[in-house]
Amino acid sequence: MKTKSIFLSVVILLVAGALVCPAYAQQMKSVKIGVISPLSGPLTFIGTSMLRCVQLMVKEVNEKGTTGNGPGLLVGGQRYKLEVVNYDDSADPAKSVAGMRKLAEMYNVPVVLGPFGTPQVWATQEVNVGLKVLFNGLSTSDESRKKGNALYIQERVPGMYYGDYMAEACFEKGYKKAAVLTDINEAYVSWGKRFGQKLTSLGGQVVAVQAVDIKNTTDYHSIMTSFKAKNPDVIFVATYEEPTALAVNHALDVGYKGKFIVTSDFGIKAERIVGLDRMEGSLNQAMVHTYYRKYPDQDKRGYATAFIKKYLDTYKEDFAQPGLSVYDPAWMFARAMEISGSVTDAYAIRAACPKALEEGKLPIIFPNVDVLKNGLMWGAPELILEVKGGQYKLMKEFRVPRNILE
Amino acid sequence: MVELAQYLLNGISQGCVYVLLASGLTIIFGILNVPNFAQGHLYMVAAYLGFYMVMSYSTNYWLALVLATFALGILGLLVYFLVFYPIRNAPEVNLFVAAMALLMILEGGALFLFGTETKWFLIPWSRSVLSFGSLTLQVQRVIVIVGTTVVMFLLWFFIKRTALGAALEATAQHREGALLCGIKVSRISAMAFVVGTALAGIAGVLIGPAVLLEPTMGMGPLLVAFSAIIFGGLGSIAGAVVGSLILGVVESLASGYISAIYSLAFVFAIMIVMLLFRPKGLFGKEVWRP
Repeated sequence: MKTKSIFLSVVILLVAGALVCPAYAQQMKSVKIGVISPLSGPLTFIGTSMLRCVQLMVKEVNEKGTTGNGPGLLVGGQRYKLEVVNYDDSADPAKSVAGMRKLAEMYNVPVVLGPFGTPQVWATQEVNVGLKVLFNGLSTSDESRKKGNALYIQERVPGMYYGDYMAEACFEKGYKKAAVLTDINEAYVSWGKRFGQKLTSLGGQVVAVQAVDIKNTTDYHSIMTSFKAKNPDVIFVATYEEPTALAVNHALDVGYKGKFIVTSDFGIKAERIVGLDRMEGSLNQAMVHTYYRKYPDQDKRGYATAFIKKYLDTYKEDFAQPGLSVYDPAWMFARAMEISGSVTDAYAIRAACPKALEEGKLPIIFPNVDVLKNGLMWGAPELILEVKGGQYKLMKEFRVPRNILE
Repeated sequence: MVELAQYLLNGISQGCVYVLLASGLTIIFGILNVPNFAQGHLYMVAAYLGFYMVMSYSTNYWLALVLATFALGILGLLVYFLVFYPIRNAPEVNLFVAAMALLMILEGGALFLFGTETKWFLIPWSRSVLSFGSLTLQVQRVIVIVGTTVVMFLLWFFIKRTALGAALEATAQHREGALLCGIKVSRISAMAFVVGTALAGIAGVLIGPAVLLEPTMGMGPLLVAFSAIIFGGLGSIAGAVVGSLILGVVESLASGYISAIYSLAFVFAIMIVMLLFRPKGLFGKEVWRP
């Protein structure tokens, strides 16, 4: 009698389970997308944010689909569940290449998000076409998209173009003498150079320039002493997040009383290390979420605020500003797979990318963004923020003209 | 002139970290004849210990400094008895390999235990600066200089004015002679490890609030500290002190006047020049051949 009841219970459970679970759950295949990011070393904070942003996107797509047509991807009538496979490259170009090979050869990924950093992107560009992998490498160098790599997406306008707007903002504030500190990475060097050129063209002056290898530099005191001796109005710092914070701290340590102008790398973690109250009058060339995070009511479209809430609710930790740059391209790749009808053909997926954004259906941070023929995602607004009373105040919003980037 | 003085001050404050690391290396090398490659990583471990005590358990910074120093001393004792004591009579190359292995283990352990994300101390005076006329220095860097001076004085007192210190010096000068005099050399060796690693511990917690913490943070200072003991003369604590301060200042001057990219190149170039013209270093008594 007892055995019979147990048997019946099991049968009922199985039948109920089969009725409750939708048919697609059993029919879903999976498609893997890759993430290459630094999960060790000084850029871990950025790399972790990158991975988490992609995981966040994957979770949403698997639950609701790309445009509410879920769950998962719908490609050629077949449903696919997205899976993330990641590789820690420690921000080492050789490891980025190894990661690209591993993800392509072992997991057959059609698309990769990352790596982070210009040297890593350039190294990866040497192998991705041969491996037939479309990738969004985070580089702020103007050279990255000019290398003619047919399977490369650059998600953000090269930093050097922001240099013009940063110089104008400095000039507007009366900061006419600048010292420039950048990482040795080409993207940052060209950013600093462009800033200096523009400032000079406006009638300003660059009084000192230093490029450092941030991976081997832990003490900026003497660099900042040399800057201070030249009496600049402003110090331009273009490196990654934590080194920027350290450099600013060390400038203050040696008694520098002027202002700083930092790049969008200067995120929430850097703010905490330095303390915004110690940067009164300084400027930050920021992406929109830095500002909207503090002033959500200013986010008229609400996309950035929604993303920030989602991230913080999920991970209970802050994100690195450059890290979340992969969020929108990840959505774009997923939708492009659906439009192209392929989860394997990187060229077809690449060709469908503009359409994926053009539809305007994706819940991405920067709507109204376009993919140019050279792979650059253009259209996201950028901000110049000023520190006033220990808080950011919006100084100006700008977009680099499309025609000079095409 | 003010600029030069500021460079000197920056260099001395950084040099003080090298002083503590290099003195520890010298003591361990003097007794065991092994370059403790893990010294930089022990310094890193101490910085993390201090960080967790202060930031996670709200321990008073000074108490954290003392506790972390003791913890590192105990870790040094364990390292000695688990790693170096069993192979004390093995060929020197085995000791080298053991020291390298220890470095790897500590770095791997730190990655596992402390994570890869950069951490930073925030103590009440983290953002405070002291001014001396036109010169300024972060309060924590002043603490590094004063702390190092006090510690080095205590170390000198210990070695020159106590029986235990005399035994340590005697063992470093002539191991067999010390044995003949009835000195328990294995105990003295253990003590050397305790003192050497405790010095790394002090360095880690002293500099912790002034830098960013990551598992590889010990490698750069270790390289300079090694250069300093070669520059100052292997086996000489005075040499380690002077060498460290000189190299700290050279690094600072090169960063300021030339470029930070080449600052370490200058440090190593000066060490090579010293080896060419005075192979035993500033205060060394004999030429060291590995």
